[in-house]
Amino acid sequence: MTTTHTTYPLDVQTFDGRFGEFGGQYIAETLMPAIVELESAFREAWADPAFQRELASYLNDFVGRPSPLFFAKQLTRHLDGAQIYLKREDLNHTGAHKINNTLGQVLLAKRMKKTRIIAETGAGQHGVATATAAAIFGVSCDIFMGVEDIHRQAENVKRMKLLGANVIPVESGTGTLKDAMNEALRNWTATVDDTFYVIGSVAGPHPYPLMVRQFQRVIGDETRRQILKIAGRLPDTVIACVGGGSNSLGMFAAFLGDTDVELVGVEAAGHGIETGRHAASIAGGAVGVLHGSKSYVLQTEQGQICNAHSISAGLDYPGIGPELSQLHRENRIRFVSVTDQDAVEAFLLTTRRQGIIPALESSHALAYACDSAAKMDSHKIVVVNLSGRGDKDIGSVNAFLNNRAETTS
Amino acid sequence: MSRIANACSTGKKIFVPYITAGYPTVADTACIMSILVDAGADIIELGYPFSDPAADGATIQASSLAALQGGFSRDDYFKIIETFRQQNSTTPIVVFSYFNPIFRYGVDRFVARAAACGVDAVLIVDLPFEEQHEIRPLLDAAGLDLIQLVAPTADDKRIRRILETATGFVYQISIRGVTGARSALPTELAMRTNTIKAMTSLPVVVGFGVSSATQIRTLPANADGVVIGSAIISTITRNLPLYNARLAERVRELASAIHDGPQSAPS
Ligand SMILES: Cc1ncc(COP(=O)(O)O)c(C=O)c1O
Repeated sequence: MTTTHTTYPLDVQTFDGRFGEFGGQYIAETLMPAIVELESAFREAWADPAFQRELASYLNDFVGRPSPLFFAKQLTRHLDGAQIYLKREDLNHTGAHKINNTLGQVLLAKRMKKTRIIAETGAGQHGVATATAAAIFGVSCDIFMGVEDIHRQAENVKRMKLLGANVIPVESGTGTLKDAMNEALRNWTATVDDTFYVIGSVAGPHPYPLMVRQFQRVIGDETRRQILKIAGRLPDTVIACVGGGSNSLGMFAAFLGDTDVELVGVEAAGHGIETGRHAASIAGGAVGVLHGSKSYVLQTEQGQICNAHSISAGLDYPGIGPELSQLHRENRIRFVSVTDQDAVEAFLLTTRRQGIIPALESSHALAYACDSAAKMDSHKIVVVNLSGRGDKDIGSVNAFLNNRAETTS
Repeated sequence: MSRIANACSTGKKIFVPYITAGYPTVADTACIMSILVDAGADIIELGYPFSDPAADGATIQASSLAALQGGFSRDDYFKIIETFRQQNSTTPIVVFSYFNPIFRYGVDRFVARAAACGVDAVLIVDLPFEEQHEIRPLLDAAGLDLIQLVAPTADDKRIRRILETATGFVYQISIRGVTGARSALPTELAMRTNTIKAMTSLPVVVGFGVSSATQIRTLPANADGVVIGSAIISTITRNLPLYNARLAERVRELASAIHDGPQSAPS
């Protein structure tokens, strides 16, 4: 098959929603008019300096941007290899990169005169970020969350409720992120006139993959400026974890044209790719259609979607954004995967050596970064997107360690 | 005349029941199709179970999940149709599916096999006309209809575009929402049906949310037919394992409400 290359930089005003073979609008007919309306509303808003100014002022003063690019000296010394820099999205208000996107989308919802917001959430980070944006802008907010995730991420459920959101438990399927997304789509189909669906990653039908990438690319744009200022040059390698792909694409978008910069996406290998219990769509999936777009999807030979597995709720999704699938096919991004076990090791190492408790999602990127930095020269520069903080994960990590202690004793 | 055109030319409203293939079991499905026909079905929509039915309500979700847990496979789907066709060569069959199982198999292979075993039309719930390039040329070549959905959210311009390429019949979605029984249907339904009928000469059938004979009597007189799904599935579920007699009775009741109710003016 010949690969059609995507032309960069993307032009928001003319982009048609197709990244080569991937992307598109595979969605119920009832939702199509809303998707078409959203596409033109997003284009207008994106081109409107007043919208950009308002968004920027919230990102600066409410979120605390720009987030620092931090030289992880102790980690670097410990590994005795390449210099490791951390992009501190964990320092954002609400504790992850998700808020960059939800503020953008909720501002857009207000501009479109929508009075109600819905969202799906896995780790609860996107749910908290959406509930936060809904609280500050005074719109009502329903968050769909799988029952399994409600259990794993109880603290975030409490936060969402305090912020005034309804958390709607989703029992269908495995009670995780994909099921929450199905339920949010069902709800949207019934409420589409007054409701705006805030999707939390670069997935879903066009224009979501484009829109979320644009709202998240502030991460990469800042990082590129910061590293040029600090080191006087671009990094050798940029690493980010990949669930749906919003923090990674937000980081990578700024570097796509810098062909000397190696971009690495880290998927969740769960118990190991060979066990089938993982969440690595590129490593273990096939091209398919899920939740509105064509991309790599974990599925059976029969075309039924598989359940993903990862210790990290935010990576526990059987799909990946279409642009990432295309950048994989074009060999612009290299995809690797990291197991639950190795992610927990990196979580512990970063906590003890660097004094930062990283999200389990981000710990996947850290695990790969530590592994490769240790094998690189000391003049090399590695940037890791530290997409979120790990306070929400302390229970999961302890349970994992206890479980391991039991099985080895 | 195609089987669909034939089924739509009885001079009465047509009755289009939906069932999920493989529910309650693969072995039962062809038999259920015969029960439906004997009790008055004019066209059958045969649902293809999918793991993530994001356009379906709780009833059809549960039946799809049960079918998959029972080991339903692609081969079963085609075998069910072959078995049914051995006894019935006139009732049209519409494949009702999400796109991924078709895509994964290979759209060309799926269409060829559907045509070979006696399918008449295909309806894909997550393939709006923007994406129908995926399958339309193959269906056209095989002589199968691609059934178009018209939603209550579409404006006239969109409806016109959808109808430009419509064949077989047009499926008017009655409500904003997913499949599943509803106690009330929107009052502007008949107006919508008029709008659609003014733009096409194809039969227009109304579906989503319809579940009782009482409701059927309130449906637009100008509609050419009614699709009923969740109400049929839940009749099976409630009467497991010996559901045959109750199912036949329920379907006869629905069929006569449709066939004997107010009829659309001949176009
Ligand atoms: C901290 C953090 N990082 C990463 C992710 C994964 O999502 P994405 O791949 O869209 O960045 C999540 C999702 O919840 C998250 O909370």
